[in-house]
Amino acid sequence: MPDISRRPLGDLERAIMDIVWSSAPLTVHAVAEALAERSLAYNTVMTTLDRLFKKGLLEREKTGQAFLYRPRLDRATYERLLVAAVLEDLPTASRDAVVSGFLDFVAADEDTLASLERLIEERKRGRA
Amino acid sequence: MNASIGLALDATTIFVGTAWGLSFVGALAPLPAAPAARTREALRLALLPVAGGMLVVAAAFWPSLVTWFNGVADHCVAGGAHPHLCWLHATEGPAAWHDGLMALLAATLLLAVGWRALTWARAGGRFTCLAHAHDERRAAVLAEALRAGDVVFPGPVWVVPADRPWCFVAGVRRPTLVVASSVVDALAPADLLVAVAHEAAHVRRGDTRWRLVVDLAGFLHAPGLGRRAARRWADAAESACDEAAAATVGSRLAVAEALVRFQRLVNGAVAQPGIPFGGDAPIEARVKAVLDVHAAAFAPLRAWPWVALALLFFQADGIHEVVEAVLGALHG
Repeated sequence: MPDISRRPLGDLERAIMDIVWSSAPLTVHAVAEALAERSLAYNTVMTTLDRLFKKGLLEREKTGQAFLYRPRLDRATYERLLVAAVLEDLPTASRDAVVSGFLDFVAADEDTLASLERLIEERKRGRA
Repeated sequence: MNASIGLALDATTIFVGTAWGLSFVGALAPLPAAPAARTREALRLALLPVAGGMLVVAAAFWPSLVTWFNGVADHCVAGGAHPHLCWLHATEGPAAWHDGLMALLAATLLLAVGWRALTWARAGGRFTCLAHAHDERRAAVLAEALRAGDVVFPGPVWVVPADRPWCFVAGVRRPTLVVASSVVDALAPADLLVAVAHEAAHVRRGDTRWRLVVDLAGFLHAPGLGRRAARRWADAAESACDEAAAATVGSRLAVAEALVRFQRLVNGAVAQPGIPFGGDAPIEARVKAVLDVHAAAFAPLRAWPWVALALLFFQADGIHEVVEAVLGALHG
């Protein structure tokens, strides 16, 4: 399984993953062509693909003289893993965290919720 | 011991003694009921120990500074046998037990504050990669709900694929709203409006910056009291943002309903195995607070800690003498 949490993708890596996700399998040459508007050197694309392979995000097989690259994870799985990696150790109570959450991630008692719903209904009836 | 280091340790002693004493005021002083006034007061009280500590240090060194500027050699010739808080004639002597303690304390506090600041700085970068997981389809659903309700979030909004009902603002320099896809799927547009209006209020009020300031200031309170003061401010800020959301959507009941429905989402998520939960959910206080209309509190006595500190500063000579006497006693 790729280690996503410690190795977030850079801009070029992300662009290459987008290309591979949309039309794998691809050779280095095909990826470089798809990125033609960036005017990148062939070696830059090859090195980045190799880095993505080493990160565990791509797999490759040799066909003739060239490698064919394809993603190890589909886009949706990668995105879910990325979000989970970033947010997994976020503290449950946002009051103690570096974020400001709509509600703390703390369970409330069912009786409390039921009584609050009754209170809201009473207020609604009072206004009607 | 070098005289400058000795003076720095004396300043640390003065600061810590004052800040820790004032942190009891910060943690225990009652707060007004109205959320906006409560937030302001909680913020003042959270910062009081640091401001008070700095003010008393300044007051204690003030006579020395004035003397120094005037070129007089020794401002407290008649000051007795206690240490002089003076750059020109600071008392040098064997390191007292409290110097070692203060050096350790100062180093610990600096490390703790530095580490916490680093955590905050790294957190901002950590959340930026969530942009790579932005769910365009659900973002369009959310944007449509916000357009219909005329609610604008002042910053980037990322909807990310997640089963846990995340909805939070992250980042200090460029606050960003992160909403889980599960929240967009589960909540009605009216509830989404409330949640986003609440988070937008945090950004507009500058809460993301104040959270950092209060968090760092908490390290300079007496042990355990900084966290309590920070929580009092954070709880008050949440209620103030509920008020702001109610003003935005035009209904306190809508905010109360959204809070309860969101809490049900949270309950469903924390019931899943492997997801931790604990403590008391603040939902009851939040809902009751937003259902009650609080009159704006007029509290002239709220400024008393600051007035007292300002008055103290005008007694800088007296403070200087008292602090020197106390330091003399500590040095033995």
